[in-house]
Amino acid sequence: MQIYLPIAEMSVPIESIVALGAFVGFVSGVFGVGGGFLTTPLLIFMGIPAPIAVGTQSCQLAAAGTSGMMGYWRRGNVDFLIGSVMLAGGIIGSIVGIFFFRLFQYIGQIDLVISLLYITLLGSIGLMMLFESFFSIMKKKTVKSEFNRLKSPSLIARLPYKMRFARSKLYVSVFVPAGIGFISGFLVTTMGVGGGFLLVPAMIYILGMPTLLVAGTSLFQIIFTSAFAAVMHASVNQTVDIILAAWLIAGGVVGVQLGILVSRRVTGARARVLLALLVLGVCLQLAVQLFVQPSNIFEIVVK
Amino acid sequence: MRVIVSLIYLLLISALWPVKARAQEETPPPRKVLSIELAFDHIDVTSGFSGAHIEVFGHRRDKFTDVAVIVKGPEEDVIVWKKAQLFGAWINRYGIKFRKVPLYYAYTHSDGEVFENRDIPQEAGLGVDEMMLGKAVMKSDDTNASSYQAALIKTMRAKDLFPEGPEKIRFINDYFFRTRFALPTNAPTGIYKIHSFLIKDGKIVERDTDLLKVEQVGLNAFVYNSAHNSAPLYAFVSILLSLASGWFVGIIRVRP
Repeated sequence: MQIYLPIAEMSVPIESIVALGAFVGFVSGVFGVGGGFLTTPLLIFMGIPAPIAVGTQSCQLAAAGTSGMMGYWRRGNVDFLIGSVMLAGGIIGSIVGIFFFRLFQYIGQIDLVISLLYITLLGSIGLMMLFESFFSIMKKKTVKSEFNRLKSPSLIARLPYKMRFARSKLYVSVFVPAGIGFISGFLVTTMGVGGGFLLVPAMIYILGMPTLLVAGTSLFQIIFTSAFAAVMHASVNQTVDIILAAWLIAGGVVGVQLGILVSRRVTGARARVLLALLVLGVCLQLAVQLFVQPSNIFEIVVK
Repeated sequence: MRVIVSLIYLLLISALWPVKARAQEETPPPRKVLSIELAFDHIDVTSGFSGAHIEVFGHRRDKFTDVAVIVKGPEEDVIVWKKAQLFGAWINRYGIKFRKVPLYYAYTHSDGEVFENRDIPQEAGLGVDEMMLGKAVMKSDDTNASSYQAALIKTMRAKDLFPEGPEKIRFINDYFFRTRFALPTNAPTGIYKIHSFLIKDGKIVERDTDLLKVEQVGLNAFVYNSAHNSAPLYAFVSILLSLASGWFVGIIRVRP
């Protein structure tokens, strides 16, 4: 059945939108990742204009973030203070991201920028995951539950405006969490991804937060950053298609449930190899689109 | 005194007289030879929209004339980018802007003398190439816009937005005719202009324009209008809905 998307102003098969939402939800249920990095490229492959894919994705991120954070919140594993400081950075990052987005839209290169950002990001994450899970299978070792924290580099230690974060037992310059939030905000507005894959390591290794608090806090920050990004996209670009978002979320609800059920039966490292291959596959497809001579070397852009 | 007054009257009358006479001369009898009528002057784009037809009915009083009908969708500026390799990647390198390109274009005519005289298609914009005349905004370093224009037409054809034409008008008898234009699913919304032309002795003797509105209705229209006219409120509601649905999912979620 075809459904007409009022903002994208095009008809798409509703089954494939729901299936896409369900698939991404399934992946995020199995692996505990956000999955935004899959939704945006898959929407683009389906022919949804890149700006609308990214803009709409910010709604989806806020929804997924909310349901994800609730579990951590119940268990008290969210540091709201440090999350709020990150959020402040995230809002500034979103504003910078929107200007960046607008700029490249104006000069007609936004699709290229989104592609390049995704190829870089998916390529590096996919390879890292592949190596990590490959070695952990080889050595038959479980992933270390304790992380060796990097000693805070002297530069970070010397930054001004230090603040005490009691919940995380940290005394650190506000610029560190705000900077991490800034990157997240930038990623949300330009790529439609929450950036958990960057945020979580950064919060553990650079900020030195207790790992227990990291997931919930990063989700807390992503909810409000992506909510802000959605408002920016909707008011500046008119690229938030709520009908598209609704069907994606509906598919996602089912997918996540299935994913969580399946996740009890799959072993970590082997499953992560699959995820890594999936990520690399999407990356490869984007690279092919960019580097292989297209059949039509002209592109039409309606102002 | 009376002389002066009557003189003024005389002046006034003499000043008005020729104007009135000319006005009478100029107004032709309001009996037009060609009249067309749209079956629907409104096409609704619902959430199940899967294309539509623009039906045009017409009548000509003189059977020794020819008829042409053009449908033009809303006009927008369009940039055609040509990709070229930069560090191995195919990116948009050279662009040419075309001003006010109709995002839908189709035409039909009764054959006959329409194309005997090359001036008529040019004058009426009958035919895709004729319609595109003068739309390219040349930049100093571009020598040739024709390949860009060809690419634009090819892309629009592929999307069924510039349907291959012309189709012949179907005459029911010597005077009555009907014709229809297929609007694809991806047809842009907005005001469509239906231009009709009456051709006699190698000249366009009558022309008329009817308007057709293609717009989203129901929930779609509501979403589209609120997104464009009250963007901040739309954004706020969208995000509230997203947060609420996330919350709902969080409550019903199966916990491992």
